[in-house]
Amino acid sequence: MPDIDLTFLKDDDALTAASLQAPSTSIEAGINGVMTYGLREGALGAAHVGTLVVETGITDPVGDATLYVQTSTSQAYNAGPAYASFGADGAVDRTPIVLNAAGPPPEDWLKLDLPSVSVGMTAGDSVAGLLVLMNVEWETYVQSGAPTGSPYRLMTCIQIKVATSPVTSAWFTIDRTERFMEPRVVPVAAWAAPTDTVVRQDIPTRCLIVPADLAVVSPPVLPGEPILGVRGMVSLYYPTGGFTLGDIVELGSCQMTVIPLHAEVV
Amino acid sequence: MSWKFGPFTVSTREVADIESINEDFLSVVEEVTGELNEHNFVENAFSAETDRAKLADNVGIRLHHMYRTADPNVAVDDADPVKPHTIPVSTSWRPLDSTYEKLVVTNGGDLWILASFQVKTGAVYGALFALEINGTVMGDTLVGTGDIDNDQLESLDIVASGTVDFGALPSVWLPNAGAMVVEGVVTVSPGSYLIRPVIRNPRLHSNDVDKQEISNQELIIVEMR
Repeated sequence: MPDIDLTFLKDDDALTAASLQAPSTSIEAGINGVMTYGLREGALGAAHVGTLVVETGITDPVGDATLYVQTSTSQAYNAGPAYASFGADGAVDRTPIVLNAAGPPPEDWLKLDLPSVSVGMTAGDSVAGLLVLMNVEWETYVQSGAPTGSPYRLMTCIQIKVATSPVTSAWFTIDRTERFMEPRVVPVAAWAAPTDTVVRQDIPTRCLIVPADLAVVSPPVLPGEPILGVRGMVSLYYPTGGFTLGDIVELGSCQMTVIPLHAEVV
Repeated sequence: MSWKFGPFTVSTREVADIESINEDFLSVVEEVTGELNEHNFVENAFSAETDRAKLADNVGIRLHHMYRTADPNVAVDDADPVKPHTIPVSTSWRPLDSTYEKLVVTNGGDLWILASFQVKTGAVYGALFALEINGTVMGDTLVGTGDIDNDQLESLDIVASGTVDFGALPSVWLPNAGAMVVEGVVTVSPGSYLIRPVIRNPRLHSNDVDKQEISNQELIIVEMR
């Protein structure tokens, strides 16, 4: 009985164990089962924001069970397969051919596995959306040597993994997160290898993944379908058409944070 | 409500008064039925999914959200919502896009504002970006530069004579494509607030008039109450 139905003692009531116990029992039940309306709008406020950043009970890469943070170290890539088309899904938008065989495989580059988080406040996990913050550091336009290929822009995007039928665990691009960066070459950098074409540019992206993002994937999945992972992707876009293999692109430290939030979406 | 204590204490040397006992119970009941707040819960009290489901959606956070999906690599069409839109060049602050804004009506609190977008800017005049709230530019959110000496664009380097030097890469004129995030935290009082990212060009150049574009864009406002 979450609501408290308090019966007041009257003037001629005897103060007995039973008469005193009744209101205590009522209050006890109410406190142990506070209803939604027991907390007024904004009741938890900034002091309890941590409560509303949803823990989903997994072990994430840095051991923080609330914020999901993934950081990659420096990686070099061939200027290989180019950007395909706007909003292409799966690995199509991903370029990297990892030159360093000892490094992580491309699919683990900047990826966070989630323990099946359903997005949407009515979907069961009480998660309104996944707030994603991603920063990719573009370190060198061309590593070790003069550029030989066609001029390119570095493209980044955010993808989500959704279980679909009959396809399982397919990755879908959040189209609005596609970003293209043109190089701004650092003219002189004493700390860089003299043959590198250094850019050292940050490519930032912020995104709120909401149920509507599930409705547009192909094949479509139902709102509330669990999201199994979030990852960052890179590719090379050649605005002048065509491309030439041979140049080596280097990325510096990159970071992605995923924050599941209990909230009202306005 | 903050911590709550009954107003009367039953003493061994006094006659128990029914009115006082009722008051003791009532003071607690009134608060439990609708006036609980952050003081009454331990840290992470609702972290379990089953507990959190009992909370109202807006108990602590409201998310104000808008976005527009537009392919950055197709021609500008200001009338088409899925294509890039022109950003007129201006030495005054102006909106990035006509619909790239959000009206927030709030009871007050902290707003974490994140604007993430894809732009192409002209190479000669530079660009500054910032957040604007009800017409006031938030100076501490300003990013970008108009100082081309410190921010050379390889596609369109400016040499000492002021002419354009098409460098070794790329060999064709390209507007400068860039990913931008403008973000900040602001504490607001109760009221309504029109929030949007804005742009300003420190200088103008006849070669680059209206070659600025905005395409993919997203505005997220986390209202912490």
